[in-house]
Amino acid sequence: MRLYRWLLRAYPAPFRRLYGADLEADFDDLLARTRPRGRGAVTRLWARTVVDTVRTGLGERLSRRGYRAGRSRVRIPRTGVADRVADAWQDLRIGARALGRSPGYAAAVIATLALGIGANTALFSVAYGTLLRPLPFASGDRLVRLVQEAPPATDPGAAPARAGFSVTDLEAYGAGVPGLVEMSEFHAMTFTLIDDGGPHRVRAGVVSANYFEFLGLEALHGRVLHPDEDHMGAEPVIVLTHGYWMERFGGDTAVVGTRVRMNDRVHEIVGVLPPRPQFPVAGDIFLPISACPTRSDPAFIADPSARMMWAYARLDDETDVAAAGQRADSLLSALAAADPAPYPVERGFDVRVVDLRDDMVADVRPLAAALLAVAAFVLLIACANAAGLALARAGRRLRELEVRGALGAGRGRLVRTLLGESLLLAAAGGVLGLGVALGGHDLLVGFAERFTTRAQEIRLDGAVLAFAATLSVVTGLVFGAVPGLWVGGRVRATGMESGAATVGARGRMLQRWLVVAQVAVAFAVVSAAGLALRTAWTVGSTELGFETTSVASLTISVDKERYRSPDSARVLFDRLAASIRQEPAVGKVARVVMGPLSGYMHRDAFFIGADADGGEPVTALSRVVDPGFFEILGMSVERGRAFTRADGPDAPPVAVVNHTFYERFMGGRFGVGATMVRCHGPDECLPPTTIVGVVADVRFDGPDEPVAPEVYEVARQNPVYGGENLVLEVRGDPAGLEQAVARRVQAVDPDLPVSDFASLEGLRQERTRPRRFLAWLLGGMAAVAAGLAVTGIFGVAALSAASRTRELGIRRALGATPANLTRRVVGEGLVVAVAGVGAGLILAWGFGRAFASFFTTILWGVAVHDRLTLGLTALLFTAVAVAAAWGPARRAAALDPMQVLKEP
Amino acid sequence: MSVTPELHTRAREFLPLGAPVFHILLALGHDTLHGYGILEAIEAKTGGEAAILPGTLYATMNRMLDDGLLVEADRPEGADARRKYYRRTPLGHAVVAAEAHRLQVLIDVARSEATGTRAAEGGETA
Repeated sequence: MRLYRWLLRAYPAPFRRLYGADLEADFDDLLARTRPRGRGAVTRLWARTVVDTVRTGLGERLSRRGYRAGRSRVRIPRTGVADRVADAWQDLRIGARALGRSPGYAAAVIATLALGIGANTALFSVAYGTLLRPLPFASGDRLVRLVQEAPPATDPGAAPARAGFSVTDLEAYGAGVPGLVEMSEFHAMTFTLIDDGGPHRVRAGVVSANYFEFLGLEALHGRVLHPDEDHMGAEPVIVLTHGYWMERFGGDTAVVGTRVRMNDRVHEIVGVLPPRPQFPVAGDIFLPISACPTRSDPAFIADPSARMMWAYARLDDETDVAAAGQRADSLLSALAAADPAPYPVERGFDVRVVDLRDDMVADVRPLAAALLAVAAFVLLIACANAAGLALARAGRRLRELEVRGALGAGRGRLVRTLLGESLLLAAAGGVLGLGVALGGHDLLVGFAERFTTRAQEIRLDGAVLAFAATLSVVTGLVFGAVPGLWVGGRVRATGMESGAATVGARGRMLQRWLVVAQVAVAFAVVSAAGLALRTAWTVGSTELGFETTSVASLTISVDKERYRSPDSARVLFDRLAASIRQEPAVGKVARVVMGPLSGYMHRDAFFIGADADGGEPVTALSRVVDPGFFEILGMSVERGRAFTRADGPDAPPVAVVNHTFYERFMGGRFGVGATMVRCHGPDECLPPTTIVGVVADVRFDGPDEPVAPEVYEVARQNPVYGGENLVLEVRGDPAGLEQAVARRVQAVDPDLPVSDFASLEGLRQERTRPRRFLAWLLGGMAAVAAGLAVTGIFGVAALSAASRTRELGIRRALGATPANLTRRVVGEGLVVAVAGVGAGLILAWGFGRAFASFFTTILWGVAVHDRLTLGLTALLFTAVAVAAAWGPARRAAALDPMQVLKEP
Repeated sequence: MSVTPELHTRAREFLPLGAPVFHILLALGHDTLHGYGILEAIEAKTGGEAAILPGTLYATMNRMLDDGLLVEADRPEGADARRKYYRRTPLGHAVVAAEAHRLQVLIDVARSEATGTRAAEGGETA
């Protein structure tokens, strides 16, 4: 009954005051009477009642009747708005009945529109959830991020890149920029957390204690951080994110107050956060700055150039982003004037203030915009296609419509009947489209997660439903307007005289234009998809240059506090390798920092020659590896030698470089045996290393990263890094290997967590997955677009030939050969296709220009205006047009002219 | 209840009647009924065929009250206190009579045509 009372809101309030009680009482009685007849009867009653209420409610609202206490005796004219609603209702019913008689047509149009509306709804949900929805944080529109840009320390000549903030920076901006209130800091770390379930890796956000208050977040259980937990020496505490709490502790509230070990200290879990998007990056736990070993190190705090933290602030009500940016800039000038060393403004050091929402979604914006544009294109084609179908159908029904016109239905009424039909079809398409959107939802969220943590906010909610509904109505009006207006004009012009049962010359022209438009838009979509597919293919077929199928890698996180001395780390890794090698399915084992396809890389500056003064520094990727590494990965040695067991901690330091390094930096001037110095900063150079060999180029950072100069050094001659990878040669069945290896590792040290166990082939697939997904997504939309456009071409060719049988017969009788006629019909199809392809080329070019940043993000190894892709697409559409026209053309040519002319 | 010529003229302005209006007027007859009573009467008199729902009923009756075809009536003895009661006005009576007459004429025409057609068909086969 509450539902019914809610339903009664369809009526205007005065009407409800007059009849609400009676309506409720009557419906109550009706329900009571219907219930004994079963659930089906009750459902039918409800369905009929909803329709009845909405219909009459709409009528009452539109009639603007004055509900005065003393009733007027003025008669409402029978053409009142209420009657118009009744007429509209009747139009819809006529439409529904007419559609029921042509289920094939209805199904074709509904399916077409469902794909278009579904794609748009799904992508709108992404755009809305990530780009448009306000941040789910307190006063989210006042939150900003501060960004510093600095020239890289290892390569002072390179362009400035995003740098973090040092403690000195944070204090300076916090105190010195008016309008910025509540500075808050964040940096991401990965730690090993040891609880009752054993050791495991956690992604930690290290934050100032005001961070949660800053975002307006309160704990779901327990508490967030206390202000005094910012002070160094405070008892270490952690706050769990909701996702981690559910996954690791199954949502057990008793976990609050328990203790876990991390960084060789005991931490108390003090609270659990509510389910909010993790900000600014996805993570498992939060801890205060006093609990982070790096952040609380006095040397780190004192160093003004130790820039690691991200800085956030809230604007006060008087300040906007631009003003705050200017003030931060002038503060920077003052800081640089006082102490130039940490603030090299003359080399491009800079500070900016950006809106937090823009910052969070910067990566997803071009993607969402371009995909939405493609989806809109698909919907346009769907509309044009549906309009073409509706036009053909209207042509076939011209007789019926003319009869209705003769019986008194006005022109407007006839147009409305057609619009009623198209609205019904669009509504059905919209409902089905919602299903399409729902089906693709999880896939899209998974895809968007790679670009923004706001992906969690993507939902099919009221706003998205409203979008889908609006889109359906607009779609219905747009594709219904074409045949509606055509029929309207036609009925007025010819009345009952016309005997033609198909669309005439003007209608055919309209159909051709619709097909040209479809081909043009489909061309743009198909060429975009072609580019994405070529990228995916290029990336998928690029040789990495090393063995991936029989090699697995894993991460072991070594606690640097416990294995501080190089000797203890060496002993640990020797024991680990020996232990893992006992596993029957494992062959050789080697250690590597920032292993193949791990997603991590490191660049260093090197001076080739005897010492740092010997020349210009060169920048190269740097990896430290065990001797067996090259052999496990099947990398060939081109010159000199690989590392051996003899290259121990006490032997002279050695390095191996890759082919590109040798060719680019050494060729001609230095040979194997040259020395090299590595520097971490201008004045921090390590002892010289001898280059003992050159290995072949490989793509350790993935198929879509260019091959760069690279230096390999010996792990045993370098300090322990922390997160270390092991690569294993896998022989035989890898099933269950992960658990077996983890047991072997924990037999050596029970506090060492093993994570990221995967085969290198698996890592490669994982790395290229977003490109494949995008290629599939665009390819799917392109297939729909091309399919629709092709149906359009076929339809026009067939209709055009069929409606001109008589004309072609006459031509034949007058001496045209079958070949002449074939050429004629095929030529017309070709004209449509060529016009469409021409317009499509322009559209594709404009699309490439408008979404340039999207294409640079998604393409690799293919140019935006790739001639091959555009050429193949053009060829495809032209070929389809010829093929479509061929059948009808052959039939027309085979006509017996006498037979055709005898027909009435 | 007699229909004056003046009332008859006014009643003809309402023709043809919408189906719900006609059914409501017929259902009321000379009785005083509440909304649900009207719904039941329509069902009973049409054998359940023309069942209308409360929304249509009240929206239609609202217009009929404005047009003066119905009035709210006093509650009969022992009536349901939750509900309002309605009865036909003389104008409502005149309108339903006029509509019935109009339909009667149409039915007569249709019948005579149907018989005529059948006769013609018979003639051809003979």
